[in-house]
Amino acid sequence: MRPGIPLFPPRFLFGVVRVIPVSILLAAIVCGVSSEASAHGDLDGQIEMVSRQLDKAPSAALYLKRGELHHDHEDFEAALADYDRAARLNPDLDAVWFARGRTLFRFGRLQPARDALDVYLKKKPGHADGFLLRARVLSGLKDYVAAVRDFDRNLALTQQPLPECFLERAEALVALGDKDSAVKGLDEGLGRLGNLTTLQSAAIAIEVALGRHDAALVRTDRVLADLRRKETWLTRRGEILEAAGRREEALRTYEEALSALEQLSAHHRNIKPMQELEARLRQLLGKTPPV
Amino acid sequence: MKLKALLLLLPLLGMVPGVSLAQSLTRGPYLQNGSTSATTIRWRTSTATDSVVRYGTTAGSLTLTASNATAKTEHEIRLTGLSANTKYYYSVGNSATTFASGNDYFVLTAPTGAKPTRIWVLGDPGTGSSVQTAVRDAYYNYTGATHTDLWLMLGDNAYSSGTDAEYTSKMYPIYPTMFRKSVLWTTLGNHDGGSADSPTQTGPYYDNATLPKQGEAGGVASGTEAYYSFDYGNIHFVCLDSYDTSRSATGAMANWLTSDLQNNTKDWLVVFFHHPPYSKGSHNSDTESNMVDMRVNFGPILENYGVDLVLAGHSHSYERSKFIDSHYGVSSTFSDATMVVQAGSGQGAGAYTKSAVGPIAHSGTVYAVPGASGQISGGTLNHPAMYVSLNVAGSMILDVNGSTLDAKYLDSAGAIRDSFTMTKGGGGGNVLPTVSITSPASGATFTAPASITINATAADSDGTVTKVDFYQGATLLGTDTTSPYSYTWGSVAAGSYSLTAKATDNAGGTKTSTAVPVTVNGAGGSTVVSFQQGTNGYAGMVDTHIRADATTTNYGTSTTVWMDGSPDYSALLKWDLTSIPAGKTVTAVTLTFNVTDVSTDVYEIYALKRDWSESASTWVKATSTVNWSTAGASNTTSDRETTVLGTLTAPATGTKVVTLNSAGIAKVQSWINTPSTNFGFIIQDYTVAGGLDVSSSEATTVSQRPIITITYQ
Repeated sequence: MRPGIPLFPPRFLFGVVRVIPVSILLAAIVCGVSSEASAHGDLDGQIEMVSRQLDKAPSAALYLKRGELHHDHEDFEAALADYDRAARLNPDLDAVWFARGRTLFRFGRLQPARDALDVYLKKKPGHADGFLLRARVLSGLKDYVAAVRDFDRNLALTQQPLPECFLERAEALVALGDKDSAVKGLDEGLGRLGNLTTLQSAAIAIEVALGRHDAALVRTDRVLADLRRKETWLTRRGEILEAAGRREEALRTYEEALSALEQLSAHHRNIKPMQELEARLRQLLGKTPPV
Repeated sequence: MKLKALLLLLPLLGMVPGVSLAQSLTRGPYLQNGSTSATTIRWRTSTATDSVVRYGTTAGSLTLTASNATAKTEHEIRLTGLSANTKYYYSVGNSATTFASGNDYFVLTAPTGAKPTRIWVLGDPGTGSSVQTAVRDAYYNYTGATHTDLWLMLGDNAYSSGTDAEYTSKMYPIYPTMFRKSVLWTTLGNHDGGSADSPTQTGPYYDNATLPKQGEAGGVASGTEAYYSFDYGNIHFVCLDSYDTSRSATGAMANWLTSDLQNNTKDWLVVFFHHPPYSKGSHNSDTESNMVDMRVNFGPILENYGVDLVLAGHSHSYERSKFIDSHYGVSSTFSDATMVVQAGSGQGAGAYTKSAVGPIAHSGTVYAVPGASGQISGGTLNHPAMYVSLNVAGSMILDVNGSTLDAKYLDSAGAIRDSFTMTKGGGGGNVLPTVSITSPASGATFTAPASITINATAADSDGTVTKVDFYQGATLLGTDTTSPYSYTWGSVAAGSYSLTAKATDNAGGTKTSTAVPVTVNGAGGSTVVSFQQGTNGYAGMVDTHIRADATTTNYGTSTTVWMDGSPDYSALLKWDLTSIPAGKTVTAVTLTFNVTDVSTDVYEIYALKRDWSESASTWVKATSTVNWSTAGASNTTSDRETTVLGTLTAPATGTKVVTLNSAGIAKVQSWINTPSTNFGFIIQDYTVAGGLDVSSSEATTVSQRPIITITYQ
């Protein structure tokens, strides 16, 4: 049921109850919110504060700021409108293009997001986040060749990237059918970020898809070396061995995994994921479940 | 700005022994990234100088040295090779001068096993206000001589944008005595994120912090300071980034979390991040996507691995949940009957109890939002999952001693406003009952209309079982109060069901059995099939909605589809049914929706007559190149049919099943016979005034996506 007139047009909030009744907003603002708090309080308070500042002295920077607040508030139309106002007041405010690209991407409007980021990155060719964002837009548009280029640029410009950046680039390369480069890219990530299970996991999946089971096993062993608990990754090792047609070795590895699991304390063993793992291992080994 | 900071610090600097004003401390020292064998000490000086830490196990006898000869203003020295649970006194300075030292400059390394542990938790503290200092002073008075083993900041550590100047004035100088002797662990808040960036790990938040990336403090290596884990004694802590890292259930952070929890060997599991999964404070967890994502995507993972306590900030108040499990929907879907594991306050004899030490899946979690350590901002504070909600400034204190966790909320005046205790393995409270369904077996099939007898066993080691409730999904079917526990569910229609039994003991403790899935097939040898995007690998659904007030906007990626009559919105949905063999006869069709915005208005379901594109359809266009004959897909000659196939009305959120009429069955039959004519459904009524929304095929929670269920012979 949609109440009468919302204070802010919240139709673009992702999820459930979209309309914020006026009474709740007013209560939130009135109930215990000091003027200091509203200066750095919740989003509604911040939007209101910036709006008041705009009433007194409109500026491109303030419209951009309010647009970003609207973005965080998931009111994307309002955000885009403010970016337009900022651009009209100051066409040279480059950050507007990045903000516009970010909001359009979040809004699901990929081609316009790309267009905005193209403009931005021509002006700011050293902005790592800009390349990352455009890479994601390009992936969404299925222009994987361009996406990989942008992932590369982002990674070259970033000293401490998130593992996600390497993973998403690998996904784009796999989509292009270049699994080899995908693995190499993940290895670059492993070299820069360390022996991460997330990157190794992705690399292993590709190695198996390429039929490079020995390489997958080497990676699995590297992960196992760093873990205190081995049962899950021993199971994966067994699966790789099976995929490689090395059934006897796989069974031995499954036995090892089951033994590791059985040595866990009762409470660690009895959580649902471990119970499922144990049931699966027993099934693979043809053993009866424990009493 | 540096000069200003120095001038502000002058009075304090005069009190620090051995400080030279020519080269002086402008920040710290502060402890980071502690483990059983190492700790990082950081500090900042006014001018560049080399870094020297002198340390030893006896105050006044600092015989060991760790140093870096490179001149810098930002100093970071990691002490390694330390012994566990050992106090090391230290001083910071350079090769010529000691800047700071004293009896309260020490590192107490983490223990390898259980030991009484005090943890101080601050949420959204960095306002630089009198509220912040009052909260601090109240805690200092409370803890007195009892050492704080570690402390957590739940984000928004420096308002309003997390600039370096804001950290300099609103964080470091507020807690200097705590910083120098207790390791601080932090998570990124949205205000910290105003100047910081997780994808590049740049900005003051990341520049100022040293957090484990390689699992060096326990846990699995994450490769990033945005999310990480560490051990302390018998507690495993996990920090997640709810602001600036992908919160996808299949993203890197979620994958890392699963690996990390699979590697956990500790008894307690405490998780913290900024955006709370449940809150009705100054932020609403029903609507803010960060909060929704943490609840929907990470809640199941955490509860699967037996999380005990989840801490978050963001809302500037104090909210503390009941002892709950498996609440992943909006607040209106919260059910005390099915989601409260153990009722009550958690205080005294009513302490929340888990039957064994160590993580136990879905055995109850307390979600706390102590976000008022710098200000209060109110809110409706009426989330039904909460046991207590207070618009009161304060901080949280956790005392973990073996298998008992005591939590308190200390307000800024020094009063305890809330408390609860959690015990494990009979450490002092009720032992929960056990329960399991003995029949039907998992995967059993029946023929409609079915009569299904559900049998369960239940027992309670320290008391008696008072009743067993039998559920299908979240719907209570019936109750049995005497053993043997049984319930017969009759006249069950064709479909797939999930049965559980929930036992309650004489102390109010409850336990729910593992779910048993069963299927009821149609009569006369019918087959029942369901199609839901993302279930069993099905990827044949497309949907979108079109809007009269945004005529050129496509909503194909929206996580909900909307219907309305004022303004006019229509929902378009289509399922690929080509897997149903040709020549089969359809006898029944239902559509199942997860309603997210209710309406008592009646929306009609029609068949579409032309092709449309999920990624391109708008109010004006059916595809990127073809317009609707009448905007809004309203033309009854070429856009849609006129026969009503069913109606949708939903006065409540949650699951809604629509049974298509004979015309609807015939239409679906025609799609199976001739797949090229399948253009799907449109749901609309432009004469009504209310609005109705349902989860779409892009909904984050797969089980909430629309389902078409077809019975055929």
